[in-house]
Amino acid sequence: MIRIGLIGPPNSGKSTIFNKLTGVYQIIGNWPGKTVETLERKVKYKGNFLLLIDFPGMQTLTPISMEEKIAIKYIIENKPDVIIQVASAIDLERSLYLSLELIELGVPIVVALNQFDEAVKQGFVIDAEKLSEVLGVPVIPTIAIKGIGIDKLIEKALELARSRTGIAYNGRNIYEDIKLQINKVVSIIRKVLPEYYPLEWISLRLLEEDPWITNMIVKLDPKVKDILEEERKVIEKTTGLPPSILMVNRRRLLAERIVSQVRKVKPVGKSNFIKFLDVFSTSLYGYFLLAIVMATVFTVTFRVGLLFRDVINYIFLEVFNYFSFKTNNIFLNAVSSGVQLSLLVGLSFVIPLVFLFHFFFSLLEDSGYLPRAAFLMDKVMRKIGLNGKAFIPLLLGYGCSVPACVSCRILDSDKERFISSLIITLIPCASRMVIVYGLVAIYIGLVNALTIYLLNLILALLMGMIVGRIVGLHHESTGLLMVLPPFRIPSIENSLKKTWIRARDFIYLAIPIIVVGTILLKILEIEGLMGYLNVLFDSLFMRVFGLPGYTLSFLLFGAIRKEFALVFLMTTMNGNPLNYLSQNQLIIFTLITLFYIPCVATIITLIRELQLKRTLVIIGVNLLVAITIGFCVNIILRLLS
Amino acid sequence: MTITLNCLEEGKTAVVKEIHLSNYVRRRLMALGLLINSRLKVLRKAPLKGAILIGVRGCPLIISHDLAGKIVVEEWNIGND
Repeated sequence: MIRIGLIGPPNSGKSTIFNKLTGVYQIIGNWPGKTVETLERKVKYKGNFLLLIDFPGMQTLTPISMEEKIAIKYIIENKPDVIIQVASAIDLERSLYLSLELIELGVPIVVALNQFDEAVKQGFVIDAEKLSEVLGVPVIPTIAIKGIGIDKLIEKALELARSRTGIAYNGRNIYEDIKLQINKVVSIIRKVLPEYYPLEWISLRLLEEDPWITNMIVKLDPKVKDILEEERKVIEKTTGLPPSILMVNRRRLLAERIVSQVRKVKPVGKSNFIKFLDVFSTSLYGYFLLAIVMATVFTVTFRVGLLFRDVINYIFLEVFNYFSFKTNNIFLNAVSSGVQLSLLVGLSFVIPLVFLFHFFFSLLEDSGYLPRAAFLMDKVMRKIGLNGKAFIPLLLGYGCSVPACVSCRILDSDKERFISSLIITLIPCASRMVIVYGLVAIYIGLVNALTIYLLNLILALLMGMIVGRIVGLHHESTGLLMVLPPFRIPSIENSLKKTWIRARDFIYLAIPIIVVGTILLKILEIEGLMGYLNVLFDSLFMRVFGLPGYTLSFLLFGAIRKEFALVFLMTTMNGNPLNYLSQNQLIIFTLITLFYIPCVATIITLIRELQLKRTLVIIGVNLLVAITIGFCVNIILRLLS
Repeated sequence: MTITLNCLEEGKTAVVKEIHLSNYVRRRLMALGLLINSRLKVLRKAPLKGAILIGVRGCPLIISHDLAGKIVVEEWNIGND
């Protein structure tokens, strides 16, 4: 088996190449850094067994965030047979900087010069052959999205992996004058590190004062520190620059020199609309645009969702009337009405809404709009102690908390990830949107539903700020630093696929549980479960939230998947909640479901990402907010009426 | 005359002189093209001391107001060369 690593900056098309090779559709988005896990896939490609390793998006081998450290460690310790560096032909200087770093690291690389067509459109004419010659590694132009160049890329990669030839080009030439100092460091760390470690690369990093690597080595041999200090001084004396600046400078200038050799630029105009949008979205008006975009996504989803509901309702009732059967057996009746109701609610409420929302959101994600929102929101996020980059996971939280929490890995520190995850769990995901829609938008009004969203966002950010203060978040953030990807027209096909990936769970996983659960509840209802719950919890629930005790059972189901809270409420109340609960009670119930506890999948993700302790804190905060809000709103509404 | 990058007005061009940031952040900034003595242009500033969008060596880069405050630049006018 040949192990091929895929590495490259965010938005270079790395995920697209990975998908083409594996046939698995990994989520593609147009914001920096969405490959947040190191994915491994075994594939058979033209008779060869390959292990593909997809690394998180990296601009450079300077690790700031956790995911980057994981990736670099993996490359050093597991040594993939060959690494495909997916380079963006649009952003050649930065891509080549990474190539040079990889060459320094001594891994065999093949450069996929991706988005080649896009570069031509922008007036860049790149001589790939010459680039390959200058760089000393194979360079293959690709257009990943159309599958062009992929076969050749893999062929070259396999060739390189099998031949195991070293790299012809000596990228270390730029360090010729400090060779002595590098070798000195190499000879010292050789004693403490295993043979297979890239000693020269580590020496460079040590001289560059990379804190992460320095810490690791100093732990192994504390004496290294003084020697490094000495060598750094020597370098500064001979070159005039401290090594921490010198090496980046030389690498970057070399990258630029190579670019000037292989690239010609023909000026071309951008479409006026894109130009206008680019300016508009980052100006003061951008805030209005952001508000309008978000409000539109929800309003259109709700409106179109309603339309779908009526159509599906109609078809459904016709079909069931046709197949209807009457029986005197009380249990059979319960089963048949349970199946009917659960399918009706699932198909008419949840499916249209969840699919529509994910679709609109995918379009937004693909367009490159999210980084612009991050740019605008940096100031607000900084008040919380985070930076603008954290706004991207938060926005993703409106889709689903699970990937949103995972995407917090793009943030730099533990505390930032913790607080962002906390805010994400308080933000209504698409499943909770179904509840807001099903109970508030339909029975009370669309404006109220949007108001709930707005208040929720303010409250979530406020909670983030409070808990952030408590854990001392303010001293952590390194500040926003992000490359702005260009706007692009989102691909409908891409968005449809992504929607399917994100929403299919509902059909495969949720619908069966809903059907079985409803039948169970119907039977328990006959057995008097509701009465039992009422006796136990009525006094407590009525006094605190003004809700009947049996609503607790919906909340328990909702902890599995949030939309279950709505589905089981609807099926229990035969599709007409206003017969059982007042409008005020609907509002209170909705608010509680927004906050009370992360769903099971989110909790599992949180434990993996943040450890148990912080997960428990998040759950605690969720519960606290839910109880407080439920209690306060109950009192306020009672006073108002 | 040198000023910090966050004080540079929208549309103005300047040359980077000093970067007073931690090793990591400085290295990453430099890798992204923000070298000492390289020229940059402030493309856009988010309102109320928000993030700053700069163009440096042909690429747009978002940088927070705080970070920009640690970068010393010298305003560049035609004729400086």
